[in-house]
Amino acid sequence: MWTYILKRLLLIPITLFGVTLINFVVIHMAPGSPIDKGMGSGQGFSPGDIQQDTDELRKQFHLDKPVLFNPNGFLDHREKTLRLVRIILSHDEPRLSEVIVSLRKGESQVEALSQVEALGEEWEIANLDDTARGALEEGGVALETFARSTTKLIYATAIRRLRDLGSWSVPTLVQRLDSDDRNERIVATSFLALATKRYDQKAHEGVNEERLTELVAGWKSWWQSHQYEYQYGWFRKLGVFFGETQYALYLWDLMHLDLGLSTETGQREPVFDRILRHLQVSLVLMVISTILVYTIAIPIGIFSAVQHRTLTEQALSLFLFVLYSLPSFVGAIILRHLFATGHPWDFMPVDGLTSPDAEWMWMNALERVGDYLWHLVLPIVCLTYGGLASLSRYARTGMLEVIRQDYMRTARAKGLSERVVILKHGLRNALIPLITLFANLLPIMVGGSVILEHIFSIQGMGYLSLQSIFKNDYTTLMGVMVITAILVQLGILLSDLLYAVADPRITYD
Amino acid sequence: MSSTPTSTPQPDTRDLEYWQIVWGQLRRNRQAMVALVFILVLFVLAIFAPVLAHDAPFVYDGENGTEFPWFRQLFLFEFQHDHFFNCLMLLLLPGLAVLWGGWRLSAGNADWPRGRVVVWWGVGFLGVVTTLALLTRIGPLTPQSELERSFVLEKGVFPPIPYSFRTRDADFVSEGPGVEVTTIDQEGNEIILVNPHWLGTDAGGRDVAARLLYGARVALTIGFIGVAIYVAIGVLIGACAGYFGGWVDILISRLVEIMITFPSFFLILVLVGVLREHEDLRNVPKIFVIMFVIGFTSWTGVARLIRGEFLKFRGREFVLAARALGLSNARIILRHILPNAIAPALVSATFGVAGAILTESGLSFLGVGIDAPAASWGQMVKVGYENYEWWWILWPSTAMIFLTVTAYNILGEGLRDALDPHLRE
Repeated sequence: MWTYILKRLLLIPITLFGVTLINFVVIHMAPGSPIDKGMGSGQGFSPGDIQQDTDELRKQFHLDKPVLFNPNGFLDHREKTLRLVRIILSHDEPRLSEVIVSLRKGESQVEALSQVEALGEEWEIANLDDTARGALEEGGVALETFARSTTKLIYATAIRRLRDLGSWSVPTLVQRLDSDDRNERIVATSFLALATKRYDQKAHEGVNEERLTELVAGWKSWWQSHQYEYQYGWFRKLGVFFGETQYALYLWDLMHLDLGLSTETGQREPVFDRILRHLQVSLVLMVISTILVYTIAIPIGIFSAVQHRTLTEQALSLFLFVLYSLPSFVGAIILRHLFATGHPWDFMPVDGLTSPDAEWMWMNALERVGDYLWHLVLPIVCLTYGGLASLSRYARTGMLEVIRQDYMRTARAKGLSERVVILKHGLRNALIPLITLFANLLPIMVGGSVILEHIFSIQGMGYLSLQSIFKNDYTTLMGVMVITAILVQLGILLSDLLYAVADPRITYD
Repeated sequence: MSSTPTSTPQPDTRDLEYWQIVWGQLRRNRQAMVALVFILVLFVLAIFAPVLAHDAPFVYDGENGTEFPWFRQLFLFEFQHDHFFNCLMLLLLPGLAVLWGGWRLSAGNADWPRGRVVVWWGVGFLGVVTTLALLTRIGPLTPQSELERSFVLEKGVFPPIPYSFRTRDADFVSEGPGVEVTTIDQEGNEIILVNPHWLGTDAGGRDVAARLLYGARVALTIGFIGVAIYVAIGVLIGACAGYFGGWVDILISRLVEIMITFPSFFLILVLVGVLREHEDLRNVPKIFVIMFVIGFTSWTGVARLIRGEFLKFRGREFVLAARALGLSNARIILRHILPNAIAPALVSATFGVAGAILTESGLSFLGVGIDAPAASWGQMVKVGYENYEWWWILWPSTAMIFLTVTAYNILGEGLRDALDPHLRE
C-alpha cells in the first residue's frame, strides 16, 4: 500500500513536467511581455529609471532568454554581428551613421539630437522595413545619451538585442577591431563593451584618434587573457541549448518550490503567497460543495432505486435532468437575478463573501461567522447543483444495477431487513463507481468556479486566474496552473485509494 | 449524394442495417425525437436568419428602379462564419429541390433515366444558384440611411424583423418590448412611438430578437465545427494508440493523462485569452479562434473511447483476416475497425456539441469570447447580467442556452440508449 502511494507520488512530478511544459508554451504564445505592458503604466518616472527597472526586471523574470530552446551556441554569430556593424556604418541609412560617428567624435550633441529627431519624424517607426528598423535600433545604442529623452523604445530594444546576442558575438567583434574602416573600429569597441557588460558611458564619449587606438589596444590585450572564456565546447553549448531558457529556469525555481514573483506592476508579491490567499477562499467553497454533493446525491440515488418507476421518482429524476442541463453559470445568473438584485427579491447578498467593510467593522465574531455563511449560500448552491445532478444520476443507475443482483435476493431471503439489505449490501457496491467520479469532479469544479467566482465577485482561484489573464501576469498564471495540477493529481490519488477502501477486492500490493 | 438505397449491394449493407436499427430505436424515444426536431428547427432558423431578420429590404423601389439590397448586402461585411451560413442558405433550397425532384422522377419512371435527370436538374440548380449569386454582386449599393427611410415610408419588402444583429436603432436604446417612447418629430410635435422591436433592444440599440437568431449561428458553428475538429483528432490519435499499441500507446496515453489533469475550461480560457491578443490573429474573427481552441484541446475524451474500442477489436477475426489479406494498416483502421468503433464517439460528440456551446457562452460571458457587435448568446447573457433591469435580454438568451444544451443532452442520451444492445426491444 505504502509503496503504491510512494510510486504514485513519484509519478506526480512527471505529469507536472508535462503540464508545465504545455502551459508554458501556451502562455508564452502571447505577444509582448508583461514588463512592456507594465512600462506604459509606470507614469511619473523618468524614462531612464524605467529603463533601468525594466532591464533588471527582464533579468529577474528570465525574459531575456528564449522560451524553450536556446540555439545561440550553435548559431553562426559572425554573419549576424557583421550585419549589425555594417548596418550602422551604413549603406542603408548614411545619415544615421553620420550621427553616430559625429557623436563618437564628440561633436555638438545638440546638433546631433536635432538630427536624430528629424530622422525619427521622417521614419514612421511602425512602417520601417526590417533593415531600416535594425539600423535605427542599433543606432540607438550609440545614441544612449539622447535616447532616454527621444527614442526610448528604440534604445531599449537595441540594448536588449545586443544582450540577447551576448557573449556569443564577442569573437566576431574582436575580429572587427582590426578593420581598416575607422567607424567600424569605433562601433566594435562600444559593442564589445556592451556585449561583455562593461559599458562605461564616459569611456566612449568623444572618441578621438588617440583614444580610439588606446581603446582598441585595450580590448586586444583583454582578448588575449579572456579568449578561452568565449570558446565553448559542444557540451556547454548543449547545456546552454536546454539550460539557459525560460522554461529550464522556471523548472529550476519550481524544484526549489519557488513560484517566482507576480509580474503585476506595483504588486511584486510572491506568487505562492498570492495563490495561497485565493486558494483558501476557493477551497472552502469546493470542500463544502463536494461534501454536499455526496451527502445529497447518495440518498437520492438510493431513493430513486428503491422507488423505481413511481411518480415521485420520475418527477425527481426529471427535476435532476433539468438541473443537469442547466449550466451552472446560467443557473448562477438566474439565482442571483431572482434573489439578490431585487427582481423580484433581494434578501440574498450580491457580491463577495462578506458584507461591505462599513458593516463588517461593527460586527462581533458570531455575527461575522453568520454573515460569512449567509454570503456562502448562493455560490455553494450553484457549485453544488451541477455536480449533484450528474452524480445522482450515476448513483441512481449504480443502485438500480446493484439492486437486481442475485446477492441482494439472497440477502433478503436470509431474512435481513430491507434497510440492512439496501444500505449494507447494496450501497457499498453502488458506491464504488461514485468514488472514481471524485477524480472527474475536481477538475470540473476548478474550471467551473472561474465563472461562478466572477458572477458572485468572490476572490478565489478563478478570480485570480482571470485577472492574471487580463493583466498578462505570466508567473501567477503558471503558478495557478501548477497548483491546480498538483491538487487534481492528489485528488485522483485520493480517489484511487478510497476505491481500495470501499472495495476489498482491490488491493495495491 | 447520388447513391440511393436501390444501388447494388455493397459490403457495408450490414452497416446500413445497423444504423437502420439504431434509427428505429431512436424513433421510439419520444423525448429524443422532440429534441431532434428542436435542433433541426434551430438549424433552419440559423441558416435562414437573414430571411427573418435583416435591415435591407428584399425588393426596393428606389430612384434607379427596382433593386435587391437584401441580396446585395449578404456578403458585404468582413469574412465571418455568416458567409458560410449565407452560402448554405442560398444553396440549400435549390439543392433540396434537385435531390427531391431527381429522386421522384427517377423512381419507377422508365422515361427518365437517372443520367438525364441528373443533367436536367443540375442545369436548373446551377441556374438558380447563379441567379442568386449574381443578385448578391450586381446592383447599386443603396445607402443604409435611405433603406431605413424606405422602411418608414413602406417602399420596400422587408423581412419580418427589419433589423440585423448589428443595426443600431438610436430611438430605442435598451428599451424593453412594448415600451412607449416620447420624441419630437420634425415639425416639433410630440409623438409617441411604440417599440417596434419584438424583444426590445440592448445598450447599442440592437434588436434582441435578431441577435438571438444570429447567435444561433454562432452557437451551432462553434458546436459543430469545434466538435468535428476534436472528434477527427480524437479518432485519429485514439485509433493509432489502440491499433498500434506499444510505445505509441504509452506515449499517447501519457499525453492524454496530462491533458485530462487539467480543467479543460481553464485551459481553453487561458488559450483563448492568450491567442485573441496575438498579433497574427488580430484580424481573425474571434469565433474561429474559439472554435479551433475547443477543437484542439477537447479531443482527449474521444481519443480514450476510440482507443478502448480499438483495443477491443484489434484481436478479432475480421481484423486478422484483413491483415492476412495483406491490406494496409490505414485501410484496416479506416474501413474495417472504425465503422465498428465509431458509435461511442458519436454519442460523445452529441454531448460535446452541448459542451462546446456552453464553453463558448462561458467565454463570451467572461469577456474573452465573441465581442459586442457580433451576436452570441453568452455575450447577451453578460449584458443582461451587468444590467439586471434588462430582463428582456437576460431571459431569452439564458433560455436559448438552456434549451439548446438540454436538447443536445436529451438527444445524446437517446442515441446512447439506441446504441446500447441491452436496452433494445
